[in-house]
Amino acid sequence: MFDKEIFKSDLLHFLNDSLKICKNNSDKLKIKEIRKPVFFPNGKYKKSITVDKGDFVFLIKGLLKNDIKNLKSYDVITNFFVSSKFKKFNKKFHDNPDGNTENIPYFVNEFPLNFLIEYLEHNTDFLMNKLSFHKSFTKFFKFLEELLVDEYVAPLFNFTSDVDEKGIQIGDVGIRKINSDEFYRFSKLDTVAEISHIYHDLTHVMIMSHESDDLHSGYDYVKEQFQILVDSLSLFSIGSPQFGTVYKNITSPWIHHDDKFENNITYQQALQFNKTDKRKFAFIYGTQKFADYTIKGNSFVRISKNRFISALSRPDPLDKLIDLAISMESLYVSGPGDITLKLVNRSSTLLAKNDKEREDIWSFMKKAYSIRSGIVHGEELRNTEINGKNYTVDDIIGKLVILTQKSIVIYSELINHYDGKNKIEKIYDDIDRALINKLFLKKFHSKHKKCIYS
Amino acid sequence: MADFDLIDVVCNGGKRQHCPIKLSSVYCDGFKSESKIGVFSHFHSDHISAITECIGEYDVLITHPITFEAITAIKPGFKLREQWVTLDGNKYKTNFGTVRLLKANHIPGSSQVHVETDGTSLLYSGDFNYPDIEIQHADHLVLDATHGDPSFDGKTDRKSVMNRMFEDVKEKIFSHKPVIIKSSSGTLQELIRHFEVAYDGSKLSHDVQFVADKKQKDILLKIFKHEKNEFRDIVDYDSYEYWDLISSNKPCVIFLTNDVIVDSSLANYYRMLVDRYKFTEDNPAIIPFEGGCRYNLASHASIENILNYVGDVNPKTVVTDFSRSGYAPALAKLIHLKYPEINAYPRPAKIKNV
Repeated sequence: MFDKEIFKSDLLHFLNDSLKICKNNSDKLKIKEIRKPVFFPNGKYKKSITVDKGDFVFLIKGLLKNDIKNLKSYDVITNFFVSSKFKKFNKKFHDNPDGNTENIPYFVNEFPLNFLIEYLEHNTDFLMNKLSFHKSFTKFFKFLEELLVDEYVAPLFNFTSDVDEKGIQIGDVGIRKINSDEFYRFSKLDTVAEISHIYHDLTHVMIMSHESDDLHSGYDYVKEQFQILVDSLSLFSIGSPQFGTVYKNITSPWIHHDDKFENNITYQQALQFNKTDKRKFAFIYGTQKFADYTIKGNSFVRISKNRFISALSRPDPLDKLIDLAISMESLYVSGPGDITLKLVNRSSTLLAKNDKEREDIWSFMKKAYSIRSGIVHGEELRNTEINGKNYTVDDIIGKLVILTQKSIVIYSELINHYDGKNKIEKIYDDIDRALINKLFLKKFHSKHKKCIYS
Repeated sequence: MADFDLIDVVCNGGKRQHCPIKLSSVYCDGFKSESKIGVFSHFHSDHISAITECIGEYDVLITHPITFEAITAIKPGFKLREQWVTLDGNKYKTNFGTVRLLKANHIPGSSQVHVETDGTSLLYSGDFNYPDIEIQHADHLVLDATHGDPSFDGKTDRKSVMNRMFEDVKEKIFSHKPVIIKSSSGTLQELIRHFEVAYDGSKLSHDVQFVADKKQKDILLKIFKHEKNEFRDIVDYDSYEYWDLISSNKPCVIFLTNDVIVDSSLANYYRMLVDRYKFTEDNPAIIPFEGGCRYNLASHASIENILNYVGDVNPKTVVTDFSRSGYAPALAKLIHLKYPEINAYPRPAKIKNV
């Protein structure tokens, strides 16, 4: 990287020169009305207000670009952007595969214009303000130092939290309160008469920085990381969080923004996440982050998890219960034999912390599975009684959600402790042995206590 | 050997610039001092670059009505000049013979130039595509050698590819992805017309903005003036409305010619590239790449079709145009190999780049 102080001094020189051009053409600045979101104290969308905003992008790039590019101080700045790092940046934005003879632009030469626009956004009077220059410069130089790093953000729907603007970091992914610019972009506030209802409850976003040499591969990686976090949230508490379109550099003044993966969001039960939950959640996130579902022997956990996520988004309780039952079957049953017996024995052995709880889970799972079998044979879903306790349909589903969540988290961890072929059978052997051997049960639970008792 | 008094590619000092094609006393697509009659085969910039010089000296300027509309869209003042003669199937008679324009199937209005003088017929192919071209025998032929190389032999079906392009545009727009289409002038107008008028399936709502350079838009509205009511209002590239579209990332379709160097604001847009790519025989007509797709709308004949065209015209001599294509010598050899009875030569014999 070049000398920061020399660059800063030359950039200041450029800014002085270009501000003179802007000042002389200030009558050409177009003012446009934009809609700005206003939020309730709880962070939810309240209304939009119309504000006037100078269109500096058009003034600089549409009208004054050539005058500014003719400045000697402009050339001085662009002469800094010649190293391989800048060429790599340009290639990232305009790859030229297979000898295509399109005219190749040198995008980095637009950085001085972008800097000027960013400065003017905060200094609409076209005057030099050294403090403001310093602030813009600090941001600009940080961007230049991490030229290939992109900032990704995605709206987090069906999610409420006390996490503030500063946010929290879970592994590589951050969660924070949405800002006004992001809400404006996500909801397309300026292009639609009325924003979609899903934005009315949107309060938070997921964020991530990622470096890549091309424009596209980063999206796939980031989407995967966002999915892990959302899956982990689904395994952590009650609710069905979803993330929307992934945006890149959405508020960056230096690079044009972009987006990918438009998702269909459905209105579901919101998951409540508190800042104080971070530590407990980090454990669940870790189990999902490090579980390698690409290994064939681990795929049964992935299947179970996917079915569980699917269950959460089902509006019909009947479908929800079937999906949850399938999710549990994927974890606890394989091969021939009595499915109910295997399911209830293994789940109660693995999940319960003591004999009383074991019996409760055993009875509950037996009843739940019998309800599941009844549904597939045409029976209706109704309230029931288990071990002398009355369960409504919602109670049954609620408890089944909790047991399935816990099961998936435990299995996500267990698969890392078993090797080789027939991994699932080895896990079953140990659980079945724990069922008949109290000493082994104690040892088994002790060995995996972090995930079982978390 | 060709009779260079009858046909030639006349380059000043062998330089590759504004080289007119000589057909007896008629000079095509370039300027030759002390001449009287000029013809412009089509409105691509490398074929009309000498127009200002020609209009200052020639007595008669012949072109197709569509090419005339395109030229006067670019330079409206030219319309007032008295030298223009537009031909669309009819002949222009001079004291040495007749001039006719024949359909060339390259871009709208593109023409071959056919001259008959003293019982001898002369033909300049101009840029052309084959088949769907008007065939007329000529004793001497000056042949455009663009893509006269076996590596430009990719097969395509223009209508199907244009349909597929529009399907791709709709798919991107429906997923809120703005699109840039880069092509040569002429093809650009054909694409807009195809999307707005010719395409048989469901159209794209006029709420989605099209953007084009003002010059290209003017050409579109002139050459397809009878259909202009079918077109949506097109936003001028680099205008205030354009920058408003860009800064809000609104879905839009931006049509640009290949010479426009795009701003970084468009770097993330889905790129649809037409022309300027060697589609070889093994290549499909549509080649996707990360962030975009290339489409073969071949507006030049493949080597096989150039040879078929020569066979149909059945000339005694062929001059291949070395001033506009470096493949001219190779093409002359290929013609002579296939038709040993035809004398084929590149002209000028040597070329200097300027």
